Amino acid sequence: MMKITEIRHGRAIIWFSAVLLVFLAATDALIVSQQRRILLNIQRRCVNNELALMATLTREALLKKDYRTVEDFLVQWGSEHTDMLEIRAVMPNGFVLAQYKKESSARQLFRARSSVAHEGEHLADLEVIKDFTGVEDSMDKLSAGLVSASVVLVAFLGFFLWYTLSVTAMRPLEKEISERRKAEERLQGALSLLSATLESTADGILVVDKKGVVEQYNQKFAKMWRIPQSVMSASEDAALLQFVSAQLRQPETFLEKVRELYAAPELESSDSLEFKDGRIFERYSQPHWIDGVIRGRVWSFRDVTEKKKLEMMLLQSEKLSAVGQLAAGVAHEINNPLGVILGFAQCALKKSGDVPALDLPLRSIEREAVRCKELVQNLLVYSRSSNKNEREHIDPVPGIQAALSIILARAKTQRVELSTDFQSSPLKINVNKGQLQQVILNLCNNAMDAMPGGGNLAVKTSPASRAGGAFLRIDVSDTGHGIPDEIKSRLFEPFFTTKDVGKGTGLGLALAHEIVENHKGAIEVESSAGKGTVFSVYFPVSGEPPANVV
Amino acid sequence: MKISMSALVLFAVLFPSLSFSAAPAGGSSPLLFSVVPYRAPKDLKGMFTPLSDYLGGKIGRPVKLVVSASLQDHIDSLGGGKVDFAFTGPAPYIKMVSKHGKMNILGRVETNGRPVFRGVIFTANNSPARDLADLEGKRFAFLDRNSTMGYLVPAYMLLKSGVALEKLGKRAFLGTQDNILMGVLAGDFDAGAVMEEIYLRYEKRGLKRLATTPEYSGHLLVAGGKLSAETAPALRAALFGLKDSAEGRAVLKSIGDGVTGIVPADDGDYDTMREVMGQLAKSGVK
Repeated sequence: MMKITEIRHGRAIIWFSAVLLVFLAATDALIVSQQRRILLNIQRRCVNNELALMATLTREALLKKDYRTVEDFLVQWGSEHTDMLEIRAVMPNGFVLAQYKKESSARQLFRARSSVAHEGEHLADLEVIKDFTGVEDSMDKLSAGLVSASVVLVAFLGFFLWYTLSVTAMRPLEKEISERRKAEERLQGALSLLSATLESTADGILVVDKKGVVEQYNQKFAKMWRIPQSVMSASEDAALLQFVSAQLRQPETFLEKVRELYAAPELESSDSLEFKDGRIFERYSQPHWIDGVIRGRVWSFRDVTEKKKLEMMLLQSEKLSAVGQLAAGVAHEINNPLGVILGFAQCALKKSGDVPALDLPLRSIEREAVRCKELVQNLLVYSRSSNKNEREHIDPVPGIQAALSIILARAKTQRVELSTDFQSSPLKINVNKGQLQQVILNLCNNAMDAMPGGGNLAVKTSPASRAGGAFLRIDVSDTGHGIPDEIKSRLFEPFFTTKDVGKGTGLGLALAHEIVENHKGAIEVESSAGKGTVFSVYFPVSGEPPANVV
Repeated sequence: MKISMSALVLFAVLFPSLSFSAAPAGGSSPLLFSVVPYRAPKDLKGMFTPLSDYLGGKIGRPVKLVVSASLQDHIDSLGGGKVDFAFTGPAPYIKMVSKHGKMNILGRVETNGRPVFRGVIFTANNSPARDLADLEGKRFAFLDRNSTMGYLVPAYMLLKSGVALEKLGKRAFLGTQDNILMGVLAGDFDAGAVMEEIYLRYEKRGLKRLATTPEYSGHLLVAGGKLSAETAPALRAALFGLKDSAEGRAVLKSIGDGVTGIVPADDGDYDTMREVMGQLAKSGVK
């Protein structure tokens, strides 16, 4: 920046120097012209004086008719005066009495003539041609000197001006300009940061003046409110308010609030806005102060739709947790009576061998009691809190079967046919048994949710190879309505659910995904709308028993 | 400074000191060599310095050149013994002999192989004069009353043509033959008389010959009475030997373009001129 300033100063000084140089050149030319005129006049007077002297000195000889003396004198005069190019003594009858001539390449000649007379008698005319080149040479030298002096003067003045301006004016000015530019850069930086901040925030922000005319907004605002660029560019608050309020469930309430705030610009307020499409915005509004004066109002909108939904899901989750704890307690309480029932049923069965009519009912009681006991045991196992890091090197099939036993009753209720296909030679994996069951239970529950009208639920294990490693693959497939493509990418997001409120937490698949990831496994899904879904879970196979349990 | 120098030069020209010196050779006193002032002193110096130097070298004694201010001075200088020898004209020689007695002639000038010379009476080209008789009442420029071709012979011819000097409109003695020639060219004089040799140099500038004089014995070198008996023969031998060497011929050429030597002469060679002067004297011409 300093260089640009210096260039501007330098340019100004160069212009000044050029003008000064032209002025001095003109002055020099005038001086030289004047000097030339003066010198020529002096030289002419000298020549005339010289001629007068020559006339005086030759007059006596002419009177004596000593022509030869005149001739000798004039020739000698010419030879002794280097600037004398020609001398002629012309008698009244035109006879050239004497003539002296010298070859010359003179640039400036001066001719003069004088009459030699005595008491009215014209004796002769003396004519001379003088070389005034010396005058031109002097003028050349004077010109060269003046030009040199002018150049030196211009250079000196130019340097002096540059130095003076630099010291007295330019440097402080440059310093001030530099500071201002730095301040502008800082301001620009601050504005840029503010703009970036404005654009990077999750809130939609709108700044209007006191009359409601849009002064500034971020793209988030337009995007949240789905306002076309044309409406935003118009900066007309009426059109903007109409477009905004039309999306709300209670537009009049919103407009009333706006009017109230415009009427009382010093007020700060906040509330929630419910949209017709279900979205919920939190609104904040406060006045825009500059130097103690209200210049407008800042509106801030935050989309809290997901937040509200999560809050409701969390509430539901907490309810389910309470239900789970209650179920565990109930199972524990039921377990004892079941033990009594089973014990007495088996005892009665032993003693009723002789009564065939009791054999079937007692065996039925025993069988159902056993089934109930297993069910309760499984519920207790599932609900019991376990250490997530407690893993076992086990065959997973028994654990999978235990989990399936829990959902078997629901399957029957929904007319879902449960089938299994476990590999003949067991593959051992290093797994937390409870977490493995939870993964299976969550996947099976989702499968049955997808088949409200019945269907087939199949659980299959098989060896698999991924990235050069051996894995146990567990497929849970259903014949339900399938998963739309647009939500596949969000399946494993926590709290993402397509179920109605109160029927799902959105945590099942997220939890399953986290458990599998923690076991360095993977979970994949294949689904087609109307054709069912297959979730494939991969756990790395551990060929040798673990040296230690993590 | 230049003006002062010019003034000095002019002074020297207008009032010649009459002395131009040759470089002395040896330690003995120089011989003084006088030249009749028939030309400008500057010209005479250029013409006769080579001769004086030559003679000095030949006789082993420095020779100093002296140009007299006038013919009378010239005559008196040699006759009075102020100079040792002289180059003079026929009329001055006759007057020297007449006044101082017999003179020792060293030799006379030979021009184009002949020891005689002549003069010319002339006017300007635009002059209406056709012959000497037409000069009556005209302005006439002479050299000096003692000049052979600059006064005496022309006056004698004018007299013979019926134009006595008194009938001339104006008479002036200009001192040098160059002045006579330039005076006629300048229109200050209608006619003049000079040696033919000098006339020819100016003729093309606008002069017209009216008459040519008869031939008279040429200029001569005469020894003064003080010149030692040994020196005169040495000088004569040197003078006669001029034509025999390139150096000598160069010396002769500097005296005049047509000069071919210095040859022996005696007083009788000038009797014709002496007669002319007698006639003039009888006619009252001085």
